[in-house]
Amino acid sequence: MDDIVVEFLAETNESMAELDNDLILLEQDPENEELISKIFRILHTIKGTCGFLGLPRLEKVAHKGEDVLGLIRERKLSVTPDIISLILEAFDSIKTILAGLEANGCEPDGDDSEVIKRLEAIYNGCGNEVASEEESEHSSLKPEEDPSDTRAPNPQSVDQSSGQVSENVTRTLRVNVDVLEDLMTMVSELVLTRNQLLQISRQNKDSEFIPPLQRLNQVVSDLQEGVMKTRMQPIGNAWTKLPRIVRDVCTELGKEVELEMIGKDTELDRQIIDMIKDPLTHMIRNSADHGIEMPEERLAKGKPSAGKITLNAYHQGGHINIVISDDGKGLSLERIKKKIIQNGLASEEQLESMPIQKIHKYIFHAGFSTAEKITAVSGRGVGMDVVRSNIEKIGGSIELHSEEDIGTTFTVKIPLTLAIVSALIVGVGDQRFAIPQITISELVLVGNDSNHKIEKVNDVDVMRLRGKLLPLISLSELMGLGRSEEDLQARYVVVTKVGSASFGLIVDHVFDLEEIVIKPLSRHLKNVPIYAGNTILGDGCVIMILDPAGILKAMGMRESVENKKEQSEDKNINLEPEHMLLLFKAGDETFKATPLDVVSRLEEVDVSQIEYAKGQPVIQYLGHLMPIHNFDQTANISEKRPLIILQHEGRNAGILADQILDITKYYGHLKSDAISEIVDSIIVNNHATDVVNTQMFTNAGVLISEGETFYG
Amino acid sequence: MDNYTQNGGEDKMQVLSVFLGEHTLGIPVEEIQDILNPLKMTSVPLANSYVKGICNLRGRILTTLDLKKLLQQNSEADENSMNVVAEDNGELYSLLVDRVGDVLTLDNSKIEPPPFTLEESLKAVTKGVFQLDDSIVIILNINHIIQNVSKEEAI
Repeated sequence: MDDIVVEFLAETNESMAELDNDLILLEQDPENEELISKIFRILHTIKGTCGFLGLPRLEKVAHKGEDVLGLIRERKLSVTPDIISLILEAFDSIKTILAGLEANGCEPDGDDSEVIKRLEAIYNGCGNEVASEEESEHSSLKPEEDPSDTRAPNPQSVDQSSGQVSENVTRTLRVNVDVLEDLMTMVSELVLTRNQLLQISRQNKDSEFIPPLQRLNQVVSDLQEGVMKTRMQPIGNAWTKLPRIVRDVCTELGKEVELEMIGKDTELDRQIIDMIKDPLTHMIRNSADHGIEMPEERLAKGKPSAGKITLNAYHQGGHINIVISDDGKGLSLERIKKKIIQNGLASEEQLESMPIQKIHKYIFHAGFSTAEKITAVSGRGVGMDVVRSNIEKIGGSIELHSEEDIGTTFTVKIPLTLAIVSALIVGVGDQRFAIPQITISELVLVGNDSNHKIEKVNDVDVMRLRGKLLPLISLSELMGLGRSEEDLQARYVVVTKVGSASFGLIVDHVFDLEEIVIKPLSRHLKNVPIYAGNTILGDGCVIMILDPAGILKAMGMRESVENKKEQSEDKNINLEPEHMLLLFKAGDETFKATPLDVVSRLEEVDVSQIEYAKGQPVIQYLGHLMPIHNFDQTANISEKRPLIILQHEGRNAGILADQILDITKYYGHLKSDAISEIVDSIIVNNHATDVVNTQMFTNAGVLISEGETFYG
Repeated sequence: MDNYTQNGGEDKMQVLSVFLGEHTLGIPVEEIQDILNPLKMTSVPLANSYVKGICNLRGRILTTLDLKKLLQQNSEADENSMNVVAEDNGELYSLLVDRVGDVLTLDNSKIEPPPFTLEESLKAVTKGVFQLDDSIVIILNINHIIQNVSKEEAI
């Protein structure tokens, strides 16, 4: 029997049992609107589902029953025991049909016309002649479609109402997820206790406890596996809606699309299935809507008129890959570029040198839809950025490969389960930490016996890995545990990948891969970014789980400076903050500098353009009077001079310079609190350089008083 | 200090006396889940200094907090410190104290507000004080302690 029918049976039997009770309650409390609505709703669902499944006999009875209940709901018919009995009779017919369906896999022969006639009589008696034959036809239009609202879990266990459940129906039981979660925790606990017992028994070789312990061991393992299984479901459950969606898109847009689904039975955690359902739906809809071309267009390109979307799920080393590929038109590079520039995400020049893959990745940015027009089926603002963030939320990743006119392939990599992850246990000093395996790309031995060595670039650890320079972070340094390189001949580098950034974590020891249950951090530890959680190991110890993304974040500040340092030619730099400075000469021969971030423009002005307002030199700039600072008042009136225009907090000011020299980097703190026109003197490119007080210049009030001492 | 007048209906309150440096503190028994001997702890590098570590308590993770540091005393817990376990918001915490004494039954009406000269850090988490014959018990509000810290952290 079809799985869908099995699910339908399990669910309907459950609701029928409820309906019987509810009807009887209704008889006692005829005014209870909530109850009437509930009964109506349940019967309506059954009717609708029958339509999908192509069960005309069942549907007809349910439909008539629904009609009568509808009258009660609209208060056109009052609840009398007669009517209740009649509806109950109708329910009995439904149950008989259900039982027959369960036994034989198809609707049993039989006649319900008697009940139907009586239901009709009541219905018509109330002045409703329209026994809507069409309506029922209407809902039975698409028998091949899947009743997605009857999303029952795996065909497994029990149902209650019908006494005669046949052998060939796998029975299901709905269980609250919390119950399963509790079971999980308890089983983990049991496993720990068993491990401890086993450890003790190993020390007492001839103990009489050994045989029963071994049996306990076996049973606990089976139990653990069993409990884990209850959480697992075939990924096909998340796919049930997809054929319908593709079909809808096709009918609406006049496309031809074939959806192929491979690996439906791949099992993964129920929680994850729930979380990838929407992203998957969105991506399939995208492929059908934007990816696949119209049939004529496809034929013109020499492709078959029907497009093909393939959905493929398979296990690969501790996680599941879901590949969604279409043979459509691929991503339009031009349109993405246009959009990138439009959204100000990158400049044209930057795009020129950017690899295609990187440009493609922009579709994962928020607010990025390249669809020219919004269709009814997609392009409604829930973009790929939501898809990506949903996938990343469960520790997954998404990659894409697209070629114009050949197609697009998305590869989604997700963990099997959220509750249990496989993690590498590493040691630093006498501390142990877990690193989730999904973030690890490889493990490299470094030291005397290895081809790999930890080298230094300006005090930063790096390692050469297949021709590339990999930045390294020492875990013990990061943790403030001190460095212990002298006592260790060999160390390990755990190469991790966070997004597109790769880096290596230096650790002292590598222990084991262990399946761990991630437990959330206490509130008091949430402020430490480098941890993803904590867990209890098999030996009962608690250890912290590292979060490589968090480590990168914690290193972030230093990292960006270090990257720039490597590029810089200046060798005398340290870990001070970096400033970009504009160097110029004004007044005398000393070098002067201003931070570049307050410089908005460089202009050339005639000194004769300088006017005075309130005794202060100003210049007309963009229709406003802009105060200027002149270091050299001896300037010839007809001289052309460069003017540095500063902008700070919305205010403009100009510095009249003699000569603009250069733009350079400076590492160090700049003083900014002085009230004179020179705030600091620093060494730039081996020259003493005065840093001018831009804040004072842009602050008109200070300028006036300062200006008076100059010109007063 | 309406915390202790609130349960004025019952005129007695039971507190566990614990010792912390020179202080005798009282923790209302209903806030305590467990009292445990020193546990095997895993330290957490980079965490706030008052977090002593985490440990496994019957399958649940327990965060141990150094009460001395929390109350800004000048010393810190050592390996002989006892654990007073409390639950807050579904999370288990253990407060480390030097020594655990007896359960005292106190007359509610004799609980006084803390003297205004008491250290601020202690006063903020104190429900009141009680005079014993030979010492004075400072009655603590454990959940306040735990929550106050996490609030400070949030800022």
